Amino acid sequence: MNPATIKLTVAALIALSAVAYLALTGLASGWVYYMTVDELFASEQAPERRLRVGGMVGEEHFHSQPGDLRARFQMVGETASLTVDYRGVVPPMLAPGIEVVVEGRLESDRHFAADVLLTKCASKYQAEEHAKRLENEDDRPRR
Amino acid sequence: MIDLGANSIALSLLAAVAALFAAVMAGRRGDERWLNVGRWSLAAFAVLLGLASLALLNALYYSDFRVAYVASYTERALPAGYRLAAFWAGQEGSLLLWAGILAVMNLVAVRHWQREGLTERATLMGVLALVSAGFAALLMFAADPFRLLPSAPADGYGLNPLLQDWAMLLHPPTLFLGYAGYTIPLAMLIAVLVAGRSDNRWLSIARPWLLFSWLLLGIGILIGALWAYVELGWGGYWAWDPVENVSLLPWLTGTALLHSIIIQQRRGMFKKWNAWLIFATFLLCIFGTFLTRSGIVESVHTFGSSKISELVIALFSIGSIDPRELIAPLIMAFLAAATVAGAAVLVWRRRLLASEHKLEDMVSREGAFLALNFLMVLATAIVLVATIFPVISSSVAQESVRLGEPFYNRVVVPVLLVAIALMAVAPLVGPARRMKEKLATALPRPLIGAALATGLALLAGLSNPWALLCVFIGVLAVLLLATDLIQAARLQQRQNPEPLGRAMLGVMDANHRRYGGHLVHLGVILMMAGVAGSSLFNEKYELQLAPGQQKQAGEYTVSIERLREVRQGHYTAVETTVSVRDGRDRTVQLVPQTRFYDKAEKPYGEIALHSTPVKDIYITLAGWEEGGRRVALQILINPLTMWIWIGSVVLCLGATLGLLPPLLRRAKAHPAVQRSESSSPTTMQVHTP
Repeated sequence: MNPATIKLTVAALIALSAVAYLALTGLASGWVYYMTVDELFASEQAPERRLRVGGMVGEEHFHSQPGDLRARFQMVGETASLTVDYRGVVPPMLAPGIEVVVEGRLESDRHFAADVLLTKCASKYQAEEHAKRLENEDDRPRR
Repeated sequence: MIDLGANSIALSLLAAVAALFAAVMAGRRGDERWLNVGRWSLAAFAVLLGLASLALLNALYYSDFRVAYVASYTERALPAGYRLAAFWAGQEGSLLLWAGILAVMNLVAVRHWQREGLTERATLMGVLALVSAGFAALLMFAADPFRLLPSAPADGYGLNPLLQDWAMLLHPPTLFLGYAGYTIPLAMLIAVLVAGRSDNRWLSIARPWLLFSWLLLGIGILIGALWAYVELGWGGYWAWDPVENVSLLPWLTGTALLHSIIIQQRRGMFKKWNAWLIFATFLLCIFGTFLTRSGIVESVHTFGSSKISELVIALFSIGSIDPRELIAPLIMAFLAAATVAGAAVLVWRRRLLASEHKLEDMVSREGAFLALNFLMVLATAIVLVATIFPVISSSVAQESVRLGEPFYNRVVVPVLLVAIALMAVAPLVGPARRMKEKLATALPRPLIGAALATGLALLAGLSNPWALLCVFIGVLAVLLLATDLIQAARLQQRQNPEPLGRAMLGVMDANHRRYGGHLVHLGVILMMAGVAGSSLFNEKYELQLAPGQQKQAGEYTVSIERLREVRQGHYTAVETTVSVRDGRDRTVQLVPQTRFYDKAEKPYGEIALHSTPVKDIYITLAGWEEGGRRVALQILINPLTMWIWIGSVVLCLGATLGLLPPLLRRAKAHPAVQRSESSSPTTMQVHTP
């Protein structure tokens, strides 16, 4: 190998190890588990770290207080449910029956403190729902 | 018109296949006439997709709700501009747009390539026809924009209110122009390799395509960021969302390419590297299209639960399911086929890609560009792995783990900062010996200037180390760029006395590649300032106020008026006027809204923004109590954000300059006069342009 190649390899190795170090330490801060409500309770022990949990907003016990920048609701899966206490700007579209993803920590059994709340707002999904609704409309008897 | 559209798409597949056949025949028989057939087939492909697009636009404009696509994305009350722009609001239309853009580019590329040998021309045509056929098949079998509903509903479901924004009119087409554009250099590369050529002449034809695609992709990404900022309401412009990430990936490799092909053009080095990079960039463009629409990774665009396993199931149960379920598996299959085929060509012809020179010295243009390429590819790899991490982790460990923003900020941002630091010394980059001289003579003073500026910033109270680093890099870069331009202009003045400004313009016009590049670099520096300011020093306040009441948010005094209800177009909005008074008694009034669109079930927030070069005041109407006695506001103070957009404009101007021929007449028109001037300074007054 000529000297330039050696220098180059050394430089690349140093850079790579620096990035690997950053990546390893970065993993700790960026690591977010994603699971559904059901999966959360199916796992033996709930992870300590930050969690992202997806599920549907339940009809019961729905308290949205956008004026107070908080919302408290049940997040329901197929078998399990979870009380979510969210603080922050309440998305105007938050309502029972819609799917949401919350990010935060599990405070105690079945109680989740969230600081991130995402509501479903995808162009793709919208189209699919519309298509479904359009097709359902066809089944309806017409006057 | 609907039939016309559907039939055009079916025929376009035929045309693309015909072009492919003709290209293969031309290559095998060595017959020009087959190439003509291919050219006409590609022209037919473009015309047919044009007709299909017109048919779709027509259906959208006249609200023909028999078409599922029209009913899904428009409504009667939607303004005409948005009705037409709904062309790319959904998957099917977006793919039609992609294919349509590619169809036009096919023709331009074939023309651009007409001086090459027969094999090269036939292969280029074959590759383009193959990609075109892939898209036509996708449109025909899975993503049919003309799918009909059993009966037409009375009105459509309207366009997602988030997409009703001028930025959304422009974001998808520019992005697709970039994506489709990267097909052309790949086709040229394959053509040259198949023809058995190892020269680098073809790069001068490929380079404008690389620059054009890079520019358009960049504009698309930036418009997307601007849209997220003004429309999504969380106060940021970049969230490392999977869909944002996948558009960034080809842009990063494209950035690397723009630099490393210069080395190949000049010295015949980095050939293998460039070939793989062109190929990877193309694949990343297809991957971006795939991921954006597949829902395998959760994101703001594709919030979904469909997983790879479902896609694979879908692949094996053709016929029993909705054809649209096939879009993602088909793109995935296309991606896999393209990967195998492209890699096969590159491996088969690896001998042609041997480097003509060895890298002799790291401190040289080659060394600097290699380092930049390394950093860009490293950043690409990290972003790619992190983006698909949920998929990796769920298939390896049955746990879905997402890597959040902190990961990217911690890992990718430092890599990009090192790249920007390298960029700062770009004006000094050159052949090894000259570069060392320049580093010794031209670097110390700007270095001292940058250190002084950083010291001043520290004295002024700036203590964040990242911010100080950005000040240092930014000042160093600007000083080096300015010195470089002024020195060149002085040199020009010595030959031809004229005002400094004019000399500077003349110098820039005489070398678009160099100074276009420098402008791009300046844009990046300005953007870095904006990103640093807005991400390191933003303030966030959440306030609850009664009308008439005053509250303090940091140095700002905030008060609101009573809530109002206003009717505008096809929505009703609840709004209030917020007065924000800063520490120096300057008051701005902003009107954030919550909009209730007629066709949307849920309300949408519309932020209010007051933007100045120093800072943005960004207000969201977060909610209110029944009767409006109390109103919640979110107020964000984002320093320097405007510089991101100013930097973007500078960056785009620079790249555009790189694409243009010399602009000032003098540079070209009087070469003889100029030569005589430099030999005999006394005749200088003869020349007045």
